[in-house]
Amino acid sequence: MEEIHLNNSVQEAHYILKQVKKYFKPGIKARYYILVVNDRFDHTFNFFFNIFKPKHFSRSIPLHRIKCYSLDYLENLIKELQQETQLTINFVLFENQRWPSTNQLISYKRSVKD
Amino acid sequence: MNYQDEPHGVFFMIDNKSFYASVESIKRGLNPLKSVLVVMSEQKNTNGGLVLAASPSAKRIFNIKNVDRHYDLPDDPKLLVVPPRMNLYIEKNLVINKIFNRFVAETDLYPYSIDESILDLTHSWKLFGSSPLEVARLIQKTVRKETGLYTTIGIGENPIQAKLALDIYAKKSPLLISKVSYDNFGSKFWNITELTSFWSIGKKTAKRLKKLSINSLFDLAHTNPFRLKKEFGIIGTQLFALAWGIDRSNLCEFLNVKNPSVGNSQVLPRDYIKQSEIEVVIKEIGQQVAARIRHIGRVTGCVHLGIGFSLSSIEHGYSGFAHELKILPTDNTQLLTEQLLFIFRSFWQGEPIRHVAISYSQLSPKLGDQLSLFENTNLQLKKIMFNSLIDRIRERFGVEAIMYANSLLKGGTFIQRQSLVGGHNGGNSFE
Repeated sequence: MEEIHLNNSVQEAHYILKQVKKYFKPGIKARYYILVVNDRFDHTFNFFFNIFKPKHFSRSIPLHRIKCYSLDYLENLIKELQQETQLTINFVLFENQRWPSTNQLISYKRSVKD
Repeated sequence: MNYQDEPHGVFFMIDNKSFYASVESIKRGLNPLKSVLVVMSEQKNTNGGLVLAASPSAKRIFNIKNVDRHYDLPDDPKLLVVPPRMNLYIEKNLVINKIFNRFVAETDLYPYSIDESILDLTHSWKLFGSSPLEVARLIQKTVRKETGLYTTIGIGENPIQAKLALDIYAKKSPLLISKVSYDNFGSKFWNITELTSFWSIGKKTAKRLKKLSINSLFDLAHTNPFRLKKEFGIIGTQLFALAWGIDRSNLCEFLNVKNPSVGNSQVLPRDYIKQSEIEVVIKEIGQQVAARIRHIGRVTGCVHLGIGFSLSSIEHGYSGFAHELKILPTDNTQLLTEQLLFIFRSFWQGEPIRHVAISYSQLSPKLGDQLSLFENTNLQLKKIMFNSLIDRIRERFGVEAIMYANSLLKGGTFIQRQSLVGGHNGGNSFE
């Protein structure tokens, strides 16, 4: 199996986009978004491509796992992604965390309750 | 029953609740008990999709069961379907076993499956709490805190009691813990009439027990053990011991397998009808198993081929055939595949097939290569060097670095199988 060695946020963003293109198939009334999860157990940022279609079960496809666990790194990667795609990006488990460069809250939503 | 001379230890059987589904839920920031998620393998041989695991909520709300098919799933957007990542689950299993290792010595920890482990806490539980129950809670909390996963624990005085406590009671108890001992074994299990819910009793065994008018564990416990032995052989005595909660197995004892074998099998993505296509698969698996025995420095004296027919073609109750052939000990791929093809051609009568299983047994250490007097020596040496070269290339650059050209033929499954772990997606392509 191919080992992926990506050295910087730009390369990782492009890899994620490549993965999105692979799984994106336009559908009627379908909703798509990229999910970014702050994995506090493994200290990674997990990317998923979620697909919702009416009267059909939903799908969530893993896109990539970012091992560089730094918000600066993630911010650069997200900026790169947003330049290339208009897809909504939802952030989960980033409560009260802010983007380093703008100090804006990353996510306003409370994501998960135990 | 006098239990005085039976082993009285403290054994935990720990299971990860809906393991694959829970790992996937956590990776998505969801609570494993509340998420409505199923892990579905969509390999070609799964008929569109096979549910490998469903979260507890998916089971409750939609009545989804493991091994359900794609077409059994409800068309409801609330249900999240995700692909499997087998390598991730193996990684998580190792992390969890490392946590268990803090509570027992390495020699007292026995991984039982990808999501179950047996812990012998007889000598160490007092270090972590005032009762086994308290230690079980501590283990649950530690695993939850460090991985997010929920664990279910069966506690018993021996491994079988722990396993039954886990399977029958712990999974349904609010604390996800259940404790069984010799004292309460009968009251807990004897009145259960569904025999297949007990470990080691499958549908066929239950049917045979019913024929003997054994309808519950109570009946089993009060049947003459000699009658059971006569009917089931040594397994009859094991069943009798199970009914009384007795397990004398010593887990740290190393078992010497009488006739070990190495094998691989696969379910084909469709019905294979053409001889040439079936033979490609037989050669591929034969080569793979040959490489495995060379890797462990063994030669085989017996090849086994099992063929399963397509369900649609099963007639007269024959679901396939399995035969073995004794040969002169060898690890030579070409010789082995020749023998396998000989078995296949001798017994196959044109039935469509869906399953191929190959194993090599009567393994013995390889002491050198035995040349035949009836063949050209140089040719034999060339074949030996050829196999060894292929093995070395694969060891260094990966299995898919080099392959036989027949894998490119229609019917070949070698390339597609390289990314699979346990027959399902390893998940590396998602990393």
